[in-house]
Amino acid sequence: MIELSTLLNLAWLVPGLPFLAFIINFFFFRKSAWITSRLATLFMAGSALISWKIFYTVWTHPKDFLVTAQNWQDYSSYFEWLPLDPSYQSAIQKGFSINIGVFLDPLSVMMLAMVASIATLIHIYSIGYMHGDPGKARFFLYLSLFTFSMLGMVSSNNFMQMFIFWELVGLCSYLLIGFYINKKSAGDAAKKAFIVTRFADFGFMVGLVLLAWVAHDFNFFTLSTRVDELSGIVKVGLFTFPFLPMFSLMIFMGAMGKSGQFPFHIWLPDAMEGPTPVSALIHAATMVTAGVFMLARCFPLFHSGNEMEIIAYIGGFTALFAATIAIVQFDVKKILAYSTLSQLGYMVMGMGIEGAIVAGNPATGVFHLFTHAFFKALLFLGAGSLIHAAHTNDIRQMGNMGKYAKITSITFLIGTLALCGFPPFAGFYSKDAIIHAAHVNGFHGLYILGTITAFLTSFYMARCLIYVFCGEYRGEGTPHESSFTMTFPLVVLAICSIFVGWVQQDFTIFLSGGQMTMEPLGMSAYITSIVIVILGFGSAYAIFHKKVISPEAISKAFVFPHFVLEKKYFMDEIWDYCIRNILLVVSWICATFDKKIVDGVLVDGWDYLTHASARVLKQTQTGVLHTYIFVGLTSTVIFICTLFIN
Amino acid sequence: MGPLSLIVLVPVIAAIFVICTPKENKFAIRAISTGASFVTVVLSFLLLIKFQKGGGLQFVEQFTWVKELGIEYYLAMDGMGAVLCVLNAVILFCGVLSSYGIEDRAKEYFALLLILAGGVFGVFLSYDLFMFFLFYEIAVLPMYLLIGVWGTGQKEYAAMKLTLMLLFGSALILVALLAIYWSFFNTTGELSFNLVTMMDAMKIYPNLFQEDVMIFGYKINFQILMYPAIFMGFGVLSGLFPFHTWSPDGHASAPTAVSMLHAGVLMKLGAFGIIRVGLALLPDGAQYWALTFALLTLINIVYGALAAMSQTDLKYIVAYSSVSHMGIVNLGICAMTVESIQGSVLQMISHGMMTGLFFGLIGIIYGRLHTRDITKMGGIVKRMPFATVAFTFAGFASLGLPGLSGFAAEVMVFMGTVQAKLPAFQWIAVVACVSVVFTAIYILRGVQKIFYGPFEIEKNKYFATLTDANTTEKTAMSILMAFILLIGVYPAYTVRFIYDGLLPVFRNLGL
Repeated sequence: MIELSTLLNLAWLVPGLPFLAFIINFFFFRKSAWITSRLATLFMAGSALISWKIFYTVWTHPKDFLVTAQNWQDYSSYFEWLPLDPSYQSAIQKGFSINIGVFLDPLSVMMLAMVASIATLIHIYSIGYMHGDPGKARFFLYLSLFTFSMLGMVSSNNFMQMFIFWELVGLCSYLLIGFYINKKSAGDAAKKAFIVTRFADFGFMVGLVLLAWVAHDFNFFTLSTRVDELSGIVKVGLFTFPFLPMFSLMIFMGAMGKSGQFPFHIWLPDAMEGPTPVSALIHAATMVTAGVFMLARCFPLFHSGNEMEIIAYIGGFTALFAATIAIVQFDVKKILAYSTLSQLGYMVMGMGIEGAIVAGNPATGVFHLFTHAFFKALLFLGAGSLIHAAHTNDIRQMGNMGKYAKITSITFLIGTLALCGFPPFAGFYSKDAIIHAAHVNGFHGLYILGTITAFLTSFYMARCLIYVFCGEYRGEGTPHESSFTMTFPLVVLAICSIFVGWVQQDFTIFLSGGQMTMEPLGMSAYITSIVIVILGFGSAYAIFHKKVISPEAISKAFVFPHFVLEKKYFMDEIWDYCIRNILLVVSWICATFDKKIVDGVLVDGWDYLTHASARVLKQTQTGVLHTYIFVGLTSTVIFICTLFIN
Repeated sequence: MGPLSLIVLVPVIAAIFVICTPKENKFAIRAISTGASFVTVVLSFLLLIKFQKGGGLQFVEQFTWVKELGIEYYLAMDGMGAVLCVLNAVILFCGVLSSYGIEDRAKEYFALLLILAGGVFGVFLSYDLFMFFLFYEIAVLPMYLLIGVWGTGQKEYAAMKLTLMLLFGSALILVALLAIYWSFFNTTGELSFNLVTMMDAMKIYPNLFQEDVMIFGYKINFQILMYPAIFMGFGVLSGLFPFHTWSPDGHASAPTAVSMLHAGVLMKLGAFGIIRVGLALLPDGAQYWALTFALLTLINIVYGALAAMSQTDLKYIVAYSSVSHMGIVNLGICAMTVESIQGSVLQMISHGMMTGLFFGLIGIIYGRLHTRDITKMGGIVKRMPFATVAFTFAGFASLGLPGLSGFAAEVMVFMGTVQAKLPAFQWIAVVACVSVVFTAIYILRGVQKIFYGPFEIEKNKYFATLTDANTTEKTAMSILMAFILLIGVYPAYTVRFIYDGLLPVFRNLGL
């Protein structure tokens, strides 16, 4: 095993290289798309190689990387980014500050390797996909910046660094969703994504502010030893509450925004306005899983709190909710977006279930995050390749694509099977582990939710496949297979999607530093899963291909539910209504109050007062001599009289 | 003559040179102004580099001015002054660069601008209360002419309103300063305006500034009586609710560089004065009034952001955004913790650079489109890519994106406020956090409306000939962007200076 310090120095390079690529490209090669794309990809590949080196070291020595509150400093290398209170002294630390640096533990190393590898593949893919786009250089600049931020986020050892990069990935997401600056819908989607996640980040920020007050510390590991102390009651004004559950829900609100949990999910489908590689990288594989990553990171802190049950139910609900919407979508990217939401729901549900029980194992949720990254990136890139071939997003205008684009079709099919959880593809091991966990731990409601969602997943994916690959080609022109730079990542990801599920046991041991194991899924899980997939595929086949009952007949028979689904449960409308009719009205009231009352009465009031008093007083200045003499004499007489009276 | 006198006098001398230049020679006028402001930038940076952290007051220049009254000429630099001088110099330089378009009475314009900047340097550097007030007035008063003569729209009204409101504040400050002077004499028997002497004396005489004053038969503690005068007097300039309404009108009418300097630097003088005089000399008064004023600043923060959301005039959006951001500065001061006061000063710098950038860009856009109404814009990213990038940049700084200066400052203020000794401050901190959401809404809405969407030539007759910022403008804006980025990427550098400068204040506050 190589020295820990060497490993830490190498770890700086993992986020460092994409950042360097960003800087070099920004200052020197902004104008040349050819150089920018190659340079960014090269640096990214370097970063991925280093991350694999680190990953390999940790994977082979899981027991040496058991990070605790006592030894976390050996595994991190950081600098003081912002000293908050240099004079602060406590038993565990001197000074109160925000630190930024790199940190190596199994979770962060796994995320580093996963993010860097997928980012590399997507860089390669984008060289082909963005070919000829006037904004290609800009695209690679953003992509490098995003990868840097994402890698920075996963290598944080404290809440503040996480928040800082959390916001930066949000920025990159904003820039990349709105990448096509001439499209109004892209700009609106970008704005929506940023504002909705900002709403959620408000919770995160409040959580952090309260944490600074109560704990005076941001470090994940030192905080996790103070669980008992932090679970105590705090008093805020007239209210008292136990700190830790409140804190975890506040922080989780941030996760809900980034990971698209109900009701903050509305930005993700719209985010598909961005270029497809972006959807694959940011809105499927990496950034949107940040919330799940956060739950895994805070697992020791939140462990066995009742609030984790709430989190599990939010996840389970989102999984089902999003899957139902996916059934009626016709845009291939939208289908995948809702599918991503649904899978994120699974992950959050998994984290919540494991968090709620005493012997919880975060690997359940994290493993799904890991496998999902591969097959969802594959599906999105495949969709991108299909869109590239057919020049449309609409699955109704595709058809018989297998004939024109073989590699894309085969890999897309593999991705679909992995997503549906057909054994032995990757999704089966991770998703069924979550459903299984719900079952054995007595969360029967969640078990049912999870199973129905699994059926729906197979159903809508089969529907998508039927539209894309069956029948005759319904679009214009002749589709063609994409170039090698685009198919190569597809093949790599397809291979991963087949095999990564098999490492489930090793993964658990690795993630827990050799402390935990996961029991392999039993035969019943295999059978259930196969039955569900066959049921889903079969019913979709019957409806959409054989038209045993035609889809139109179903939508006619269930007009209202169909309408509701098409309108996505009116969530966009509700959000829009709230912003427009509550926030903007309050805003209008404030603006008017300011203009009319504060300014009009309080400030200009003085002006009127001055003028009015002047108008009254100037009447005395008549300029007529005998008036003055009269007033003078009369007042003298009155004055003298008053003297005599006294 | 020491370096501090030099930095104060360079703009003033340059102003005299400008006045002596024939008014036809616009090139010379611009060259002198640019040169002088560049010299201040270099000087302020040299001073920043030479400044020794932990060395107390440096580059001190002190001699008696009016012996009978105890008035001294006392310039000295602390860490806070060092970074704020850089702010002022940079904004002045960028402001001068943005003013090349001024053709009408350019001579007087540049002269006034330079004198104003000289006054601001004076305020940041004086340690004698008399000088402090003198420079404060020098800095504030040219604004009347700058807006009244070179402004646009309702300029007379705006100039009059601004000046009268600021003078009302000045009156309060003057009363408070004289009361402090008198009280200091009463206790120590010494006539002095010297701030350092007063702060040191507070440790020797526990009763200093603690006497009871009889007002209408009621006994009121001196500090409790005088702190509101200081806070509200300076608060008028730093946009404290309900004395903030000069700001939207004033900024909307002012020419570009004046808006830049005014929002960028002058508004900070208010907050700076509260820290320098209020917190340092009247800590008990500050403690007593903390909650009341914190509520006012909370109104500033939330109400300002909400009001910004419904504006359609670009300058009003940014002006209300300033009201909201200056509220964060004042909140940090009210909370009186180590983090929050440092955060306030950092927010002053951050907001200064940010609004400088905003108003500079608005000037660029207004100069080309002849309107500031965002409903009459749209899609101009095609013609003005640089302005789009810069405006978005300023917007993200404003909504507190990490990596840009605003985030570090806001985090420090919020995390400091939550730790304040009074219980209600936790709620205030939590509610103040809402501003990050509101800011995101109005900034992104604005960016979307101005720069993106369809570019319809018929919408505005100036669309056809629209060009991007020219080299001078790009230089000015790039400098400001660079500073926002540098402060934001590694805020510790700036914060260490600020901490150093605030140490005496912390000592007097018992932190």
